[in-house]
Amino acid sequence: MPTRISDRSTEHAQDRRWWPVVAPLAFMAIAASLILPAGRHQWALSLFRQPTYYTSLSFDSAWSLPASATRGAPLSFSFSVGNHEGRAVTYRYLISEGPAGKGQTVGQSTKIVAAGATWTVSTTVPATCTGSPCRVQVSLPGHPEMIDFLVTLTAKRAGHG
Amino acid sequence: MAEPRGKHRSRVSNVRYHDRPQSDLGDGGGYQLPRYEGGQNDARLNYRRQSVPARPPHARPQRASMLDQRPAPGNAQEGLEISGRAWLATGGAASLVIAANVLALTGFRLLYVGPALGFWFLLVLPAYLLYTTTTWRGSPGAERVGYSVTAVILLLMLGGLVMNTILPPLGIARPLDPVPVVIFGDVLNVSLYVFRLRRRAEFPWLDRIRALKPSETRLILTGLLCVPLAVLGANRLNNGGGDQVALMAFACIIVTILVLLGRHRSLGEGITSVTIYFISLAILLMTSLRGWYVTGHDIQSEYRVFQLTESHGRWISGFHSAYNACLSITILPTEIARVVNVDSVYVFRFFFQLLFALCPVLAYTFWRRYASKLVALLAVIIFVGFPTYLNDMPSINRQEIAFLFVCAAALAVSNSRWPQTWRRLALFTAAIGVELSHYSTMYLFIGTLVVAWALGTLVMLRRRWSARRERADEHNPWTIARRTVGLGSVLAAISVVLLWGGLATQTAGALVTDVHDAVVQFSHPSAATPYSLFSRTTLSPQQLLDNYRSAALRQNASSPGHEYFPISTVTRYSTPLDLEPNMPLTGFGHALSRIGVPVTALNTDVRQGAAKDEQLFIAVGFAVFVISRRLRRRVSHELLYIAAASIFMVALFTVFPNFSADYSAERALQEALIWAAPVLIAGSIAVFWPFGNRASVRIAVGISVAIFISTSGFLPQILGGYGAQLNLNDSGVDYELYYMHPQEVAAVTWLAGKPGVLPAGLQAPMGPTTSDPFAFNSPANVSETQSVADIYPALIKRSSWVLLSSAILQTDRASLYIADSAGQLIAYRYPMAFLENNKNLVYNNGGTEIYR
Repeated sequence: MPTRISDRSTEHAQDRRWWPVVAPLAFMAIAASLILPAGRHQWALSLFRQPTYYTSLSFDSAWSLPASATRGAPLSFSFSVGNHEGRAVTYRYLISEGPAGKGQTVGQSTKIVAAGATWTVSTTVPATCTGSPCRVQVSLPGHPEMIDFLVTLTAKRAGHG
Repeated sequence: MAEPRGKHRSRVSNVRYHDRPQSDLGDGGGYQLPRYEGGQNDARLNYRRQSVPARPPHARPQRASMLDQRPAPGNAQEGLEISGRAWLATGGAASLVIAANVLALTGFRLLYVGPALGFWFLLVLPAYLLYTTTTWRGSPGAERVGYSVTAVILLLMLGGLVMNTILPPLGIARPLDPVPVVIFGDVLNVSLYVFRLRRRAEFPWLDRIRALKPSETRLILTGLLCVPLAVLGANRLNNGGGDQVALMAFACIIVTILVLLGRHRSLGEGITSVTIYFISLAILLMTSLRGWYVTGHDIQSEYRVFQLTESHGRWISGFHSAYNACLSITILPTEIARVVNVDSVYVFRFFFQLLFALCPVLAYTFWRRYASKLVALLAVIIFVGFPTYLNDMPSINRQEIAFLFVCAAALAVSNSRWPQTWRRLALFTAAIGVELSHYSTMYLFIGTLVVAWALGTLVMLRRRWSARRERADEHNPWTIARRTVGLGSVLAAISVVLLWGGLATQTAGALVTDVHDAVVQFSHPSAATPYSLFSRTTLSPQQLLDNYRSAALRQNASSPGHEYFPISTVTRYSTPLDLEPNMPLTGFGHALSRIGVPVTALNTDVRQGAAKDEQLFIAVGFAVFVISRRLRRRVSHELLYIAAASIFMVALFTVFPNFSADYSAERALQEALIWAAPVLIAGSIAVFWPFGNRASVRIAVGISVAIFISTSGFLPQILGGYGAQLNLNDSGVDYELYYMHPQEVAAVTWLAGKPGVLPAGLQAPMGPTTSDPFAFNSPANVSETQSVADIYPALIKRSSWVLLSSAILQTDRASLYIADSAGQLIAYRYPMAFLENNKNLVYNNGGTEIYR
């Protein structure tokens, strides 16, 4: 089969002409992209799973939150702030009562939470809403996460004695 | 022409195997097989004559491979070398088997190497051992691969089932734990090795690789390059990095396809098959690897039953779920998971795709039986470019495995080298594989066989009646295959369904219900069943939404007590229809738009045109086969009947909407394409016949490639103005419904520990954030009542947990699945204020919210 062998040799010869040029060029392009931080980042996006950073905020006894209370009486509940931001974060929480965005602040605190750690807060606040139901809201200024619950308030009864 | 049958067989019985057409990698060249004495040599000769156009002897080297130049075996020196090499290979394989055993039993995770070794141990090695035996009697390479892989899959499923049945009474409570599975893998490999010693056939595959021409090597490497690009592209999208690499993968796939088409005449079947495999795999991985968790529709439930089996170390046969009855997604993935030692999701997302990528290769090999190489290649392009293959198959793993068995059945039915008994036995075995893998595929498979048999019988009776038997049929090379699908074969296949689906797993009842409903719907069409043979009216999305709202309000009103919020409250919040927006126009799309090209309309028209064209081509294709006696002679009547029957079964889905709701007409068409894709291509060529032979072929090639470029999502992606596809975007319907974010996983994990979540206390939008990840914790909890209710406002319960996914929080759009309307999806704007004003927001991580 001389024709085939000849064809094959020709193809090999063509390859020999191209590979010494193409291979170093490809190698240099890849090397250059790895040297630059932006290039490394682009490679990492395609090669490795990138972490997702977020903060979680939740009520601990979400199934048994206060549903009704007497106006002015204390409301007890607890909530947790989970730091999944990949670094230590200073969290500040605000507890407010009333309509969203217009509530009255009834409690707040600040704490540095280590990466991966959870800050659990048990608190008692007075039910001071003027209207009912009253929305009790926990928010983290600087973070979009917030949680809330509704409490139906009743007027304080006069004493019998 | 073809040889006559019957007593004249002996005249050609001395045809030798190397007289068959030689091709490159893996086509069986040099296959040293003892002569098979029987009535098949005539067919073998016919195959050669049919498949290879007569050409002058001097022309052969131009199209044959370099492989033809290898020295003839038999040299003593070479024999010694081969023997030494064989011992070396055996020793190496034994070492790898030991390493795979150690890794599987210790659970040690060796990055990349460990999973590859485990997969090789349980699937590749047994398949290779079978491949290199004389079992498959001279079949071409890709066909032998198909038989070997499906045989190993069937052995794994049946072996697992046997272990699952007999080991617990012997005191081994977890028969699918690593130790039994590894021992089973060892026994399987040793048994096949011993079997191979007795029936060994030499395959000088190393010589074949060495003999590859540079152009062939480049083609294979280009095809291979598509695979890492697909993986990297999916990763990049998962990391929110954009579609650049995914588009490069598609560009690479398109280039490979064009090269395949351009050089198809000079490429061997082996090279073509390997390249098709890489293309098919890349397309699958682009979708299957989206997301870091389980992404897709059915795969959610598939993963659930897989986890049920894996976590309990046994297949729970008492759990009568249709999904659980599929050994392909219970026992098989559990066995694979035991030896590959990766996160379980990757068994489906990666290893199953490695297997299913064989399907287009096997279909191509089947199509080559009766179609030219170009037609078969175009059929491959249509098959892998079909939206179901691209978007759905990676989510339907049980059907992926079942399709492999359907392909094996197609190859067996049309294998003229095998005697009838072999073909029937292989068909029956493949039917067992289909049934154990996926019930619906089996129903469609049996329906196809029944209709094909009925069609063949009717034609035969008509011929007897008219006494006009065509003499030409006597010379049909495929006449020998005509009797494979007889009444006995059909009844045998049905018996498999009765035994497995009816008696063993008690899951065949759904089929009876569906058929009953279909009959009722056919005789009493209603608004809820919009399609029928006589009434083609369909409800608009707004009508469907209105109907759903009315039904939800009725359910709310009829509920006792205060289960739901009052209707007076619910009706204050509107739920307007909200259609999924198209992708914005790209720069290229804007440029086209500026010169007057309506890009959005172009995309829509091309897509709809593709769907209509395919229907037209199929119809024309069958018409051509009916009219053209010359074409009929190339294809056995039986294959033509099966192809027609498969399309008939698809037509049933458009007539009976409840079939579509349970299965989908697109999936049925994907299965039908296995039988009938070349008919579609023949139709596409025939439609343009008036332009001349050459031009019609070129137009058909152009149309097939254009359809692929459009349906694959490549064209809409570079133009914009169309719905986003999951394999190229972080948006779109499938992304919103099925893509799972880490925040959703965190939310579900948080919720899992809370009281009253199941069985009916959770409401969530349809999609992966439903209760599937924590639908069961122990066998006692497994029941069909673990449903997750929808979040439509009128159906929100006062005491339930309501989970809102990232998609709904970002878009304010929720989806409804209308099962009564052929499984149609409609989207509506979700009234977030309803939840905010009536429920407590108890969990929030920025990506997922939970209300109580």
